[in-house]
Amino acid sequence: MIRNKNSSKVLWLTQTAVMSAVAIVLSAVEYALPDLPIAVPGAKLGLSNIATMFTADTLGLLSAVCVSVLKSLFVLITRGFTAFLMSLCGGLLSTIIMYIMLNIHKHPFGYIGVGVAGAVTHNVTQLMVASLIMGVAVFGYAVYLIPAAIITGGITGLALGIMLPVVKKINIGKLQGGA
Amino acid sequence: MKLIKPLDIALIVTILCVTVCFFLFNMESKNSNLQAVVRENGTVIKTIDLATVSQPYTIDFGGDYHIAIMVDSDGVAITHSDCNDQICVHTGMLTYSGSCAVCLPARFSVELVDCDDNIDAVVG
Repeated sequence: MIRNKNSSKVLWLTQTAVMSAVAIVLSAVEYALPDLPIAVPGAKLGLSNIATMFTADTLGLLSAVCVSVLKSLFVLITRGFTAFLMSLCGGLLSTIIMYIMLNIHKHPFGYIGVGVAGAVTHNVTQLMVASLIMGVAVFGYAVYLIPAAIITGGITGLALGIMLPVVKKINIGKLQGGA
Repeated sequence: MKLIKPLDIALIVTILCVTVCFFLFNMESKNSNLQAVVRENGTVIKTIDLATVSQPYTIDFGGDYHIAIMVDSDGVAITHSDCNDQICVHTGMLTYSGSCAVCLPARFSVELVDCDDNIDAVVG
């Protein structure tokens, strides 16, 4: 087993890359799903927030930002510049907010709260960017997007709340000794 | 870290309250004096007084996305766009003052306002 000070950097790099790939795949799956007949068209499930939130908690802020940026670049390639701008702004701000909420001393928020906050900031930021391009009219969407964000954020938080305590016991950030 | 805490519930309730207030603030009752404001890239390109409409008709805006809207005496709707999402078309008929339909890829929006509202700018 290779042990030198570069190994941990490589490990960090690899893990961040894997999480970025996960975020991209989740994003692609999301866009491929048909629109829910009940919800507003355009309200996406926010599945990639699962990857971002997971990274923010296990790998740190820089990793999470990288995951978010790489996912936005994917959106740039597949869906165009407007979508890229919205994904970038929404993703970055929601990542930062989720990281802050996960690391406040004494953890006043639970995982569900962090998921909800992440999803809501993601959607609200996207709306604000859209309003810069389109004018204030887009805020009419807010009425539908925000409750949708609360639900999807809640599901994200729930999924991670179940997974993360288990993952943390596996020492994901540290080198495993031996073969 | 726990799954859910009281502060989470407080957060969700606060967000919902803010959304409801926002919604009530913007939502006005059906007004007989409605005006449709069409914007491209943020600037107004057309305004239509719905009181003057006797029969529903379509306006073709062309452009990259071949947007078409339908205008009727009770409202407007985007009926066609070449965009991938079709969110604008799915928004359907706008009947309330303050409601709008937006096509982001085309930077196009249609909004219903009261006749007495001031328009920011008129072009063309």
